[in-house]
Amino acid sequence: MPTKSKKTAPKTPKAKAPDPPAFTQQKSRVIAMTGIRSFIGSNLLQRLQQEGRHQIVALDLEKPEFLKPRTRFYKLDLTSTTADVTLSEILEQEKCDTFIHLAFLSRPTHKSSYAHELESVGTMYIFHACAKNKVKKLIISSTTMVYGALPINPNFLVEESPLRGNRNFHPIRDRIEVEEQAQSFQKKHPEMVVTVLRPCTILGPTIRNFITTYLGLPVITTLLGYDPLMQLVHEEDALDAYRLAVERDCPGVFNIVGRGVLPLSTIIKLSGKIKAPILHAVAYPLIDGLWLAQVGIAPSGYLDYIRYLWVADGTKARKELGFFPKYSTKETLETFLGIQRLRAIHLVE
Amino acid sequence: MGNPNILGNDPLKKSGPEGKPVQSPGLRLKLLNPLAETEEAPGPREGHRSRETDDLLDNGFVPSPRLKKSRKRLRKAAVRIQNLDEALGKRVRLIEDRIEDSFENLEKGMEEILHRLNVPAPELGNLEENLKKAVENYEQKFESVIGKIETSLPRAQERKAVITKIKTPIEKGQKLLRPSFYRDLWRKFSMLGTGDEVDEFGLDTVFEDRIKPVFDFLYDKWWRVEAEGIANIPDSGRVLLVANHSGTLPFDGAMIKLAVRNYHPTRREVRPLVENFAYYFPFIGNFMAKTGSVRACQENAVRLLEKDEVVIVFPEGIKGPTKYYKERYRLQRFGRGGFVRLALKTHSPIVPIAVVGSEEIYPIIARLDFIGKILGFPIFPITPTFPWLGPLGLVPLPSKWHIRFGTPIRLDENPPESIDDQILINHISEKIRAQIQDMVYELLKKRKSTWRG
Repeated sequence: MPTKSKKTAPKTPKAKAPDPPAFTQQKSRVIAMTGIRSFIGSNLLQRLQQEGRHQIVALDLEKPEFLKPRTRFYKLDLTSTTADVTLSEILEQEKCDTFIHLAFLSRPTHKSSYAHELESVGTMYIFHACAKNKVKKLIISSTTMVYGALPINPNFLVEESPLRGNRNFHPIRDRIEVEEQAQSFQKKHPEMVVTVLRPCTILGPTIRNFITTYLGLPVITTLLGYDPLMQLVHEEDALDAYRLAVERDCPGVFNIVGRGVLPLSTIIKLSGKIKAPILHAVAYPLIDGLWLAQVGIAPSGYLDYIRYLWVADGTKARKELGFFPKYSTKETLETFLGIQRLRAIHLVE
Repeated sequence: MGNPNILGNDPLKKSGPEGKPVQSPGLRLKLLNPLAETEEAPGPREGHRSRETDDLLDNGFVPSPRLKKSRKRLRKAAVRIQNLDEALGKRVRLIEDRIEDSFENLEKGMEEILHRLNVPAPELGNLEENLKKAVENYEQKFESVIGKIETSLPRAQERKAVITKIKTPIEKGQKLLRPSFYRDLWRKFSMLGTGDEVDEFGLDTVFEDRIKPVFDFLYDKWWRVEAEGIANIPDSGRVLLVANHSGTLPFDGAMIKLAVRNYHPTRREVRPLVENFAYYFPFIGNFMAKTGSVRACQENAVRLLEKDEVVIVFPEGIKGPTKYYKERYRLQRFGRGGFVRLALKTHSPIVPIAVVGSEEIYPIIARLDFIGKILGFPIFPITPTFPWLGPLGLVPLPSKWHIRFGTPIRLDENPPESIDDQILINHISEKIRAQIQDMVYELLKKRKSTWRG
């Protein structure tokens, strides 16, 4: 566990950073949000609600409990073929000027065609509706996984790096398609602000996603002889980045990453888990078999990400977006592990 | 004592064994009997005897003959000590019972005495004496029992100590059977010698220090490296080291790194740039990253130099270390001049380095590249020892090494747009190649023997 001095350490870069909450001089917006039941969606929505400066239009399949009366809720199914018409009507009626698109799956699913409909085609509907209603700003959530994990990656991938993610791995294929759509959309509509945020693996005390499942396994699968550097961003930092993207008009792609890197083996060591290294030639069919048998946590595509390097560089977000991560990769991991220890003795749920 | 009135008020409960007993043979017998009974006391029940020892031993493992023997001994010892404990307990209980009995008897006797109070005085005195005698007798018996208990106690303790002596190795053995023991062992083993933190390119200084003695041995004893001109590397700021490459395995990079690490005034960390193919393989890429190497690409090199690090490049690339022995010390083409562009972009001085001796560590006499391609390596070398001697063939030959660091070359006088001037870049690259080639020839001329230097 970090000592007291270590805990205060991450605050120093924040002091240097320009004050993020000084947005008061800006006008209020009408923000439409999808995926409000996701981790980022629900937390970002609650933050915006609490601040109360923006009118929020929440779009999702079900109405969550945390919505305040001022927030308008519309039921929207992005997989339906009429989603673009419905969405267009909503945007017109509410006069939305900002759209935050967060309706993405946080982990691989067996229903890959559903995932494709939701992520790739659903995004297309959103682009269509936004183009028709002259929405000024569009924020789209992506991930640094779209760069792909390859042995020939540079140690720090920048936003301009090609997207070489494994297209046979369905979550990555859909995300790359979303990114490609966003690029061509920005080209077609240069007057609009299209911000794509690519956070790396988000970890923290409350989030539940693929990596928390992976680190929760009793024995953690790794590939024999491969120990790539991993990068984590704290959930609060990730939320800050989305918050900044809402307030600042920064078109373009931004890597949202924490400071520093850790080898996968060190992450497992600090988690107190044991690793089970598997020969990579065996691991790919094995993991695929487990996935098909509904036992595994993901298809074999994720093995690339524990095999090769896919660390991204956060310099652009720091310079243009003003995003300064408060937590380093190691501190992020430690906050997660601290909560996991409390969970183990049922002090927190 | 002796006052009948006092005796009448139930005095024995207050005055203890000093009460006056009745001279009755029945009482005596009863006093003696407990001892007789306890000496012949039966041992504890069979089932009860074995359960505890079985719990201790039969915890799910098949004992070896030796263990069986010690187990038998242990069981016997446990039975014995249990017997003893029970016997002692029984004796104490019996004694207590007898004491109560005798008090009862005494009371009865006193009642009789009170009955006989009508008899004349001299008889009463006689009775008192008899009572005293009986009490003394009783005390003697009591003490003898206590003494027996006291003498047997240390013996029992000794036995217990013997049992614990046998017990501890068995317990240790049982620890080996638990999965948690192996889990912890694996956890410790798998992270042997690695630190908790790495730098942003994956350099693990804890791991590096752990393996350094091996390379120190190669440097000092095996190749007896002699380095000159290390001071040509500035004490601080970015530097690009450019060296000739040879020797099949990149030991020359490791030796240059070690020379700077051990003999440079500021002991700078050198970051070698490594060919792509290493990162496809398990263990190799991992090892390279932990020891401070970085994959060779412009992005990585620029980032390192902008952090004011010492970067070493081998512009010959894979062509250098894979050339035949007959082509030794003839520098190959220097890539596409990427290192010159790098130096121009980051305004880094270039320090040329010549290494002599590394060509002889694995003399390649033939190459079976199709085997290498199957394995994923660029080449498959045939040396006088590899693959004939198997893993022994991987032992490098102990040639004598010389490393010379040249004077820094500054490219700052070139205009910034020269980064795009490919002809100029190629010209600079060739110039540096010629300089390193000259340095190699100079060192070779100075060298008298390949093995002794």
